[in-house]
Amino acid sequence: MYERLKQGFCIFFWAACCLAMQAHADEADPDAFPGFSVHGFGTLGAVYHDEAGAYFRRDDSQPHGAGSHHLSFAPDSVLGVQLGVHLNSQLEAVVQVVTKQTWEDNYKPQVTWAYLKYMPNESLMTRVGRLGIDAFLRGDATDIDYSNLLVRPMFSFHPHSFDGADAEYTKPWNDGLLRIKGYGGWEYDKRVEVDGGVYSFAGASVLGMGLEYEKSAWVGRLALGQIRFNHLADGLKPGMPFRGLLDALPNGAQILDKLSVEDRALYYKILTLTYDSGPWQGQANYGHFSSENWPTRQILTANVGYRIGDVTPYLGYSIQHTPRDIIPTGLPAGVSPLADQVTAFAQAGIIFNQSNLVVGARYDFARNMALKVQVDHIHYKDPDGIIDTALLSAPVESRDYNTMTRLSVALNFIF
Amino acid sequence: MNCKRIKQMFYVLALMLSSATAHATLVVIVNANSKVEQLSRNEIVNIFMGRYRRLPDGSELRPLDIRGDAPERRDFYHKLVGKSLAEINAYWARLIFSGRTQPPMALDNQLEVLDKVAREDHAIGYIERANLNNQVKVVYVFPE
Repeated sequence: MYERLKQGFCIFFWAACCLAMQAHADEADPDAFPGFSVHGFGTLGAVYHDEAGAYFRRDDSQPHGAGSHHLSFAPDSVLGVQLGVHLNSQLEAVVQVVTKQTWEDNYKPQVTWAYLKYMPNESLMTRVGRLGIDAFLRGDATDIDYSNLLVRPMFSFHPHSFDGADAEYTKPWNDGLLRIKGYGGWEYDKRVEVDGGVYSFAGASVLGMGLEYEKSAWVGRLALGQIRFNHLADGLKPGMPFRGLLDALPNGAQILDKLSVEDRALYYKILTLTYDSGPWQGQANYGHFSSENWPTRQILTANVGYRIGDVTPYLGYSIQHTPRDIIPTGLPAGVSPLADQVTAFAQAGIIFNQSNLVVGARYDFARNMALKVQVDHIHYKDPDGIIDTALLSAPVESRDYNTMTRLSVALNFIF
Repeated sequence: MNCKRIKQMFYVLALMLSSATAHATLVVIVNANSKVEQLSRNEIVNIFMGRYRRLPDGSELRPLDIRGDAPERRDFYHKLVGKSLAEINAYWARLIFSGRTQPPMALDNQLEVLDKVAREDHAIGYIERANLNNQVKVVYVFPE
């Protein structure tokens, strides 16, 4: 309790300092170089659900999820500050630091962006440093809840950023704008598995590109990319209990090959279409995730909102599908139910079958602040973002669909 | 209090009174010496929404905005893209925090916009038509 209070005080003090710096930055001459800018963003979010034994995570960078029958502020709450130094009209340095729940279950500030940007003209931009991944359109702004209509993205893409470089070229074409972007580098973040194990992305390489066309109220974007991992998950390494089990099973090598990501790549193709005009705004995404050994995962999301005064009600729907191909242990039936269950559960960790219906509203009640209320109705067999303890004890092959209804309230702000 | 200060106060008072009139005609202006004679609505959207600030002739314009919730600012973005100021602020938040671009320089009122456009060849701003002077020229008129 004392530690939480101390953390809260530090965050508040830090935010107050940033506000003071912002006031000073506003008084500075914007035409003078070097100049600097300070901006910030945040969300105070609360989520509630009544599915006993289930836990909700915003994404798998979080160690555990929000349990049932109480308000949880961890999944969606975030505070970020960005400092920009504008060296001249072409050169800029930026650092963004974010405080939110980490894989270590603390709120240690993390550097999410830190780059040097060179923009010699309107057509060309290049950056080097720590950068966000926009695998899907606006995917590099998923922490900036004030800029998004919904409480949270309809699907999570993790890792969020990488260390490397990107470059973008923009060209007017047919009364619209064509943008081509390429990026590459190395990951550094960590993922928390459903069983609590931690997988480090460190050393994994990322390479991708985006082709985007914007005309009037429409934006279409195709993103292609890959993340190539360079080591096994800890549980699969020689000497670990689960690895020992696999080594003893007739189909163990086959199961290990299916689960292993060592020197394997995950390929993604994501098509996005957005419409934003007047009171209407909408977005649709189709994502295709494949690899040499994992089953192919497909995701379809769509959301639409219509502003009425200061309130924007919205609807959203997403559906994910992954083939449920579970490799059996190879043991005769009934010899080792535990081995059957454990190996099937491990394979189920890379399978996602879930749909989500979202209804909510955003209320822009004050300048640079918005209040959102959202209800998610999730229908899942192989969940994404939900840790369901009941699934741990049930045979994977005979899983049935479960549902979770989740209420979220979020206060978003920027400064 | 000197004459220049009194003149500024007079202009501000005149602007306040003119702003009190609903739906004053907004115009987009550039420096009188600028080579730009006319811009399309699409080009103005690209410039003020940070999409692309270069013109076909290769020149680049520097947009100026009005700070905060000024009625002219609300009217401008409503007429330009049909968006509320909250939506515009959310849009810029995404561009700022994903490192794409910075929003236009924001000035306190139309008088400052008029003054800066009159002094800078590459500046572009918006004011009410009633406040024009001969140091700037109109490149786009919003329909009433």
